[in-house]
Amino acid sequence: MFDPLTIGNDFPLIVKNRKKLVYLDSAATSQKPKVVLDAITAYYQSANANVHRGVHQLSELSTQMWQEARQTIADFFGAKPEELIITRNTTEAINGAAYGFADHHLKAGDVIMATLMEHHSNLVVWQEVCKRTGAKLEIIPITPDGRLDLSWFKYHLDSAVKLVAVTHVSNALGTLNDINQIGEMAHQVGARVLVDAAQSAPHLPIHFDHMHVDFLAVSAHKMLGPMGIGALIVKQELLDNNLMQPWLFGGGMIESVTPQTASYHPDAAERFTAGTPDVASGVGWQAAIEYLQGLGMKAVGEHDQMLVKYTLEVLSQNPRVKLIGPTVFADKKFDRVGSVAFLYEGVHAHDVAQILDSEGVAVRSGHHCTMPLHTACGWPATIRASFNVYNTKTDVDVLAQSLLKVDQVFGAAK
Amino acid sequence: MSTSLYADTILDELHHPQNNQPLTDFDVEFDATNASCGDGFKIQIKLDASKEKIVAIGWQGQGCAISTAALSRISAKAVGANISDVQNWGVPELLGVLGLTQIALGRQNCLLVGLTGIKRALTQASQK
Repeated sequence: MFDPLTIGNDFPLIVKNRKKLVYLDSAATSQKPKVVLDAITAYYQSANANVHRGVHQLSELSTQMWQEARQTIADFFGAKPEELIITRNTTEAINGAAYGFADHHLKAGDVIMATLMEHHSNLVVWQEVCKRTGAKLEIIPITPDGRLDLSWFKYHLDSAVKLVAVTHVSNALGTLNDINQIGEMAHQVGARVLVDAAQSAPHLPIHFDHMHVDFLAVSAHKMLGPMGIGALIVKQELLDNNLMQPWLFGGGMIESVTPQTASYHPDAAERFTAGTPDVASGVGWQAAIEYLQGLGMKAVGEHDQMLVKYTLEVLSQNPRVKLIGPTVFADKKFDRVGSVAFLYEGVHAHDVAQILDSEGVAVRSGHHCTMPLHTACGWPATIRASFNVYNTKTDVDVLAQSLLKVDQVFGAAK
Repeated sequence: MSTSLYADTILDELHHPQNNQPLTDFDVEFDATNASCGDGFKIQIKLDASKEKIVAIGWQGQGCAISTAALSRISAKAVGANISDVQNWGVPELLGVLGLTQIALGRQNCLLVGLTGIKRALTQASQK
């Protein structure tokens, strides 16, 4: 296991704000280690040229770096580089699956299943697909303990279901869903499976080619990489058979063009990269992945589990805290990752977050882009503490201490 | 931003909110919501016979300290005011009634939710 105190030294923003800031908002975006910032600067200082466009040496170097970055990203997720479609973020990746796949195959009478715990990015996209195709959206409910209601899913799953869109880890509840079980069940009725892995990728090893998953959407910025780059990873079979089609058109993705028609590049990596790619961010993402691999994803995951368990333990001692998401766990099955969100009795989440901020503790407050979940559970807004490799148990202690300041300002609970 | 945002003014207002009751007689009703956090207030307004002045405002609902205190104070200022004046109010008037000089960008929506609801209710009333 690595030492999070030493790890913090690798992050310029954390070093700069040491003793002033406890950053507990990594589920919104993580901080970036110096190696990532350096990789981006080095690219622009010594390798900047457009890729695949020139025969000159600089273009060759840039192209090589882009391909290496793609290889590293694909390897990290246990996918082939051909299966990797680079996007701007997870949301764009999910939109890509909608425009490139769902729009071509879904029709009236078909069903898309999403879940009550989805981030808006894995819900609103499917609402729009339903408007365009006439398909129907069904929502898998959750149990009172904050887990997916798999018996509902099993009961309602039939051959009308063409796509199941589910998050790997809930950004609000922290619930880790059993993607393989859901995927296997969905595949048995012929449905395709899209997994939003934005919240799991920073903490868990992912082996795409071994999963019952057809589409995996991820972002770099929550896993120590830069903002503005993400990926949609698509099973090769869908690409080879043109079941998944390009949704962005123009330069770079073509094979040949006439004034009236165009054919598209046979290589998926090119066919799905319209326009100049963000090479610097790709190189930055590669650096983030290599940094995580240096720590070891097993250790990264264990560190997160230790922090989540500790936070549940510490916050549950405060009688005003009402934890949301799973809090009771079966033996050896700790299905909670990345964050702990809660309500604070008698004080609105925004007010709690504001007072925590005045104590130097940065948390997220609001509905965390899960409005249907918050509405269904009757929570106007919640407070979320979320973690990454640089967080320590002391950070959690500071959070717990700072909540006492809320009591000072707003008075004791009624 | 420090905890000075939670000056006594705002906490007092929170504990003794003005116009925080339903009206039995009103001309227009509007549900004001803050999409960023799920705050929601039902706002009812009674106008004078000429439909130029606000005679009474009643509101109910829940929000954070800032949105609640801002709605409470701005509703008190709006009662008796001309509709045309209220339609021109914004952040400066809200800061004024709360005795603040500034607000963080992240809290502007909290500050504005009640006033925006009042203004949209007045627009609806004028279209009736």
